[in-house]
Order: sequence, then C-alpha cells, then structure tokens
Amino acid sequence: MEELELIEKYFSRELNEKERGAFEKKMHDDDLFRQRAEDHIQFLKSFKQYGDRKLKKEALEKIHDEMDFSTEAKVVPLSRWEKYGRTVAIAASVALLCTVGTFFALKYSNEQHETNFEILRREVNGLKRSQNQILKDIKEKANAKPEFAPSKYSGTGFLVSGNGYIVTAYHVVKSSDSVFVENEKFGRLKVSVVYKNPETDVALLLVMDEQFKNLHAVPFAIRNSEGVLGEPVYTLGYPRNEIVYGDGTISATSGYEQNESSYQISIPVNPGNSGGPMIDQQGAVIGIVNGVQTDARGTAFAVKSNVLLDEIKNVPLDSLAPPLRVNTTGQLAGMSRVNQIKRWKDYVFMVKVYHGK
Amino acid sequence: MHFLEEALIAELRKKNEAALKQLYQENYVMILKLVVNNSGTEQEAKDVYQEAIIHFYERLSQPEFELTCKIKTYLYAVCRKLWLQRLAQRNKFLRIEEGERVADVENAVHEMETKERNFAVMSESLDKLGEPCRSILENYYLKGMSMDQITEKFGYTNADNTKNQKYKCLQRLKKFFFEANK
Repeated sequence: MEELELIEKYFSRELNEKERGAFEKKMHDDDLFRQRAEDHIQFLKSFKQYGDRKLKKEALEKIHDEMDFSTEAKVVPLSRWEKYGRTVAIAASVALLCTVGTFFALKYSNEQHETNFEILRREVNGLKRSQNQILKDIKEKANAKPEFAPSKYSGTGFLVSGNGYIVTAYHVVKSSDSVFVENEKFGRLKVSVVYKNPETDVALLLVMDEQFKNLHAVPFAIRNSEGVLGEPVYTLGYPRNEIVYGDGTISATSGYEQNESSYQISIPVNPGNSGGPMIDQQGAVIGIVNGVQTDARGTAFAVKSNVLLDEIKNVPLDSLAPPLRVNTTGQLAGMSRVNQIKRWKDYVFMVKVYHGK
Repeated sequence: MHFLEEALIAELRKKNEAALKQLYQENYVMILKLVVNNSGTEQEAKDVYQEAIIHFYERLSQPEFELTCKIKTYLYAVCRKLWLQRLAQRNKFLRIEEGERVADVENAVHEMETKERNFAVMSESLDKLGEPCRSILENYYLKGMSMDQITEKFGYTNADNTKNQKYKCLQRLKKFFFEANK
C-alpha cells in the first residue's frame, strides 16, 4: 500500500529531488519493483485518459442534443421577402424546385440500400405548401401575430392512465420545444415529454395543464398477451384535424425486417396516425401505430403492446410525478365496435409538436 | 459568432467551447450521410463522428500538429477510414467514395482505435467494480477530491479507513483492467 502511494507520488511529480533520486535508483536496481511501478503507472495513465475522454464525450453529447436539424431546410430568410418580393419569389421557386428535385433524386438513389420504412408523423409545415400560401402567410404575419403558430409536426397519442399520462410514438416528439395535445372533449392541453425511447419508438407524455382534472380511470386495458396472425384490429388517429377510424387485421407478428417488437398490419394509415392506438376486438390496446412500408401498399406497422407494458414498468419517473398505473382489464369487452369507439374517442388526442427556428 | 477556418483552429487550440460547438455542428450531417448511406445507423454515425472530433481536438492541442487540408476533408477522411474498419470487422466490404487524400490517416485511426478500446475496457472494468468503489476512485483520481472530503461524503469514520477502502477498490479495478487487456 505504501509502495503504491510512493509510485503515485512519483507519477504526479510530488516527490522532492532526493526522494525522486532514490525512487529512480530503486527502479534501476530492483527489476520486480520496476515491473510493479510500470504497471501501476500504465494503469494510472489509462484511468486518467478514461476520465478525460468521458468528460469530452459528455460535452459532445450535450452539443449533439442542442443541434437543431430544422435549420437545414431554411432557404431564404423571411425578412428579405418583403424587400425583393418578386425576384426572390422566382429565385425561391427555382430553389424549391431544386430542393424537391434533389430530395426525390436522393431518395430514389438511396432506395436500394436504405430503408423502405417510413414514419408516419405528419409534416404540417413542409415544403409541400404552395408558394402563394407562403407569401400570404408572411403578409399575415407582418400584420397580426396569430395566437398559435402552426405546429411543425403532428401525430396521435392516447391516455393510458387517469392522472394524465399519454402514450405516443418517439419519432413524433423526438425534437420538440413544446408539445400540446388536443381533442374534442378536453380541448388543448399542454404536456411535457417525460420519457422517450428511440429503440422501441415509444414516448410518454404527461399533461401539465391546470384545466385537466384527473379522471377516475380509463375504460380500456393494455393487453399483455401477444396478438395472433389474422386477428381483427382497428386504429383511431388524427391524419387530419378530425379523428379517423381504420379497420384491418394483423398480417404478420413481426414488423419491418423481422423486427420482433412490432406487428405488420393491413390497415390504410396516413402521416399523422403515428402514435395512435391499435385496438383489438375487446377494445384493448394491442399496439401503437408507427410506420408504413413505402414499397408495399397498405402495409403498416405497430409496436406491440407488451413492449409498451415492459417500457412502462421501467420508466424512471421523477419521485414527485404522479404514479403511472395502467389497466390490464378493461370495461369495453363485449361491446359492439361502434360503442367501443364512442368510449375510446375521448381518450385519443392529436399530438402537436413545436420546435423553434 | 461564426469563425472562419483559420480562426476556428486558433479558437479550438484555446479550448473555446463555442468553437467546438461550431466544429461539431458544421460537420455532423456530412458524416451522418456517409455512415447511413453505407449500411450504418444514426447511432453508429454519431459514435464514429464523436471519436473523430475528440481525436481532432486532441491533435490540435499538440503544438507540432499541422493541418495540411481543410477541416472538413480531414474529418471526412478519418471517419471514412474508421467506418470502413468497423464494416470490415462485421465482414462487410463496401467501397466508399474517397475524398481528397489526406496524409497519415492510417496512423491517426490506429491511435484512435487503441484509445477507444482502452476507454471501453476501463469503462467495463468500472461497471464490474460497482459502487461505492467506483465513485471513491473517480472522486479521488479524476475529480481530485481529498481523502478527507471522500471520508465525509461516503460516511467513513476516519481518513485511514477510507484510504484502506480506496486501496482495496484500486487493487480490484486493476485486476479487472489487466485481465481484460490480456
């Protein structure tokens, strides 16, 4: 023990000249001692390097998280529109054409080795809007500030616990400054993202709005047994500003590229459906809709509900947050589908995601 | 504030955090595309990229290091080589289009791999070691806390006990580390 201390002092240059001389002499004379000292110094160096690298990695991780990918899509800063209106409009239409063209060209060339899986969040504010509308918007913006800016993305989510926990897909909320949920019954509620897992594409939101009064419980269950091939299922979601129903079956018990944690389903789903519930005949959640295969029509995917349950069990919640309880038996079994949907639709929300410029 | 190439290097040498941030954010998408278009995932792109950034940052702190090409070119060359090596380990051979040739990428990448392996081994050994040993050692050797501070923090009765405990922890960690390195 004392020997190690001595070696450490030598390593950190804490020995005085005399001690140092004695140490080096011992190194020279005693082979075994030298071996031990060299080993220890190598170890200390490795340990320090480890610490140094860990700090650097943490710093980079922070920078990475602060990165805002949305800036890439910016073509022309807004203020110049007013000044050079017409010229810029022409230039922009060329730029737009190029962007869209490149986008499709790249997409096409990547198709062979890249994935044919497409996530289903809806791009509200994308390149798709016509140029006229963009111009119109800018004029309007100059005159009056709208109360709510249009959200960047939207998806679907559903309440899983009476005290305000909402499940949605990770990719819907992955880069967000603020998130709101909205439906007919509850109106617009502010939520915060309390948990997200890119691995399984599951995210958990918690309602932070004072308007929201805790409910006793939700009427439906989250099923923990796996679905079977050919089982009839249906979805509820917000691909438009209104809730939309979709009907189909489980067409495979594994997802895109044999992903064991999701189902393949044959239901026509659209951007905006992401994060919505996939429901079985008893009215229980059996999956979360999360994507489509782009090269096969009518093929969609949903994360399995047992994956969601596992996830919920392991969510590291703040000790001050309300407890997260989910039902494993529901009240909707035996009801007709129409009646199930009547109960269900109050608990399905449109998830609106905002992030800054 | 936006630094131009020369200024950026000078600021990085001064360990300016804003410069590091700019360096990171300016080049990430390029590497993301490189890896993702060549059978990698976003996570793998991030790993390769961060290793390259750390390497570049460390190299800059060596006064004798001189960059003979653009930063972008250097980072691309290093990441390309690194990614090719990762793919080779997975038995996948791919041709990735080469950018401009950059001197001494081979050595740089070799050095990076060694450092990364060392990091992984140490990280694993520390995981095996568990608490409170891990925190005691990290506090003492990495954060430079004194024995007295550690004694108080971990609730030992006196500094000698702590020292004893630290010694045992250290011996165990060394054992794990050298075993894994063999």
